[in-house]
Amino acid sequence: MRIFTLSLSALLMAFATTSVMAQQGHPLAGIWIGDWGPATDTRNFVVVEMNWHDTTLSGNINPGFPDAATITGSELNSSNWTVHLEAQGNDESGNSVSTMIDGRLENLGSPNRVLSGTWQKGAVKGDFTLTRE
Amino acid sequence: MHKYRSEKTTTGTGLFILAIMMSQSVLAQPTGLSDPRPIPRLENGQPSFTPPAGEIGVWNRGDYRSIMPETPEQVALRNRGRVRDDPSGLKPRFSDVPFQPWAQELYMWRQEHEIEPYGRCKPTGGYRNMVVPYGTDIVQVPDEQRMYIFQTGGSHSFRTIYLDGRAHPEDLEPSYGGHSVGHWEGDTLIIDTVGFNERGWIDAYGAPTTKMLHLTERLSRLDFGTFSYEMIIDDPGAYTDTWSTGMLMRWTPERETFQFLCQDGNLAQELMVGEGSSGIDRTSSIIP
Repeated sequence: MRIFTLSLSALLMAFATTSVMAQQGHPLAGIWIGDWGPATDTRNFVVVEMNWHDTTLSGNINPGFPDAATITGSELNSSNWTVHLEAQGNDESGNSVSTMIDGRLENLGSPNRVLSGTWQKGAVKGDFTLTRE
Repeated sequence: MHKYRSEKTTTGTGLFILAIMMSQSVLAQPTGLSDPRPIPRLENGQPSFTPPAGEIGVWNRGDYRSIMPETPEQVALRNRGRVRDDPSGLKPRFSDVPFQPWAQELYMWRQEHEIEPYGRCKPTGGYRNMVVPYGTDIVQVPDEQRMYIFQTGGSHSFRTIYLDGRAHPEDLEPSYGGHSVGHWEGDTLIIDTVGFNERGWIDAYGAPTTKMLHLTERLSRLDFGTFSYEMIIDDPGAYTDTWSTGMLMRWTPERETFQFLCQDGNLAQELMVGEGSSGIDRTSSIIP
């Protein structure tokens, strides 16, 4: 419990710093916060960190948490601002699991733009909404 | 679809072709010797961009644009129908700019939907720092081996250019204007800037930047009344290659910079938030 509290505190501090430094640049780069889940009453808090370097996107889902996943593949279709992300990580039990995310960017001109769509983690399918901090 | 595109596409395209032809024919035209005096110089022999002793004046921008449009859609919505050539011959055509796909689409999206950060009182760096209303004041301080570029219109901000041979800091905090160092190559001042925070645009019209942006600016005083401003953009996060643009800056005597506070008493409040009458979506949350 203490480790979880410390991790959460560190994560929140990182978010606070990032919010001050909120940047634009590449449309996907930044810290995104939101939730995903198979139903409106079954939601999972999620943080996605994405970085853009030259022509490559890298990033992590829920960095620092037991269910963290590394983004292993990405595609941004800038003709309609749709996004495909693939990630590999663990579930809460530590078992390897793949995540597939398909979404669309909205409010593109805002630093606090929104990415929403479908989220599949293992066999569980749902929807998601992320807002860039 | 905007009205201009649905009703005037043929005329608009024709005007753009004409504009491009005109721009090709006036490349490197004379700079206009309105003042026949020689280029002023500092005691160390370097060209001076500061007003001569006993005189006042500021540098005024040339053509705003960093990129020459080739179709009406490549022009910001608020400016469509205003066709101008490029007297400097320094600007690339749109198709010559090596955009990454996302950067090109974002540029096009911004023509329809966005007002630039500068119009919302954000500080600027590089090219946009030069193309401000009411003039730019360049103050050289040889004893301190640095110079300052003060913009009048805008966010009342300035840039410091270090000319003492220092390098960029290793742990640079990203900022709107970045960190600038300069040196002379003959009569041309070279300014090297890194450390941008991604919140700015290259120009007024939406050329994107990333944290990888590295600017090289070349200031060459051509005669008493003119200097050439060229900028080389190296940003592998947004462009597949380096590209350059520029303009001619004109000396405007009898004018001085003044205390222009964009944030206070802004006379363009309609540009800040809300829907404008021109149809531009100004609901973006990029506001001060």
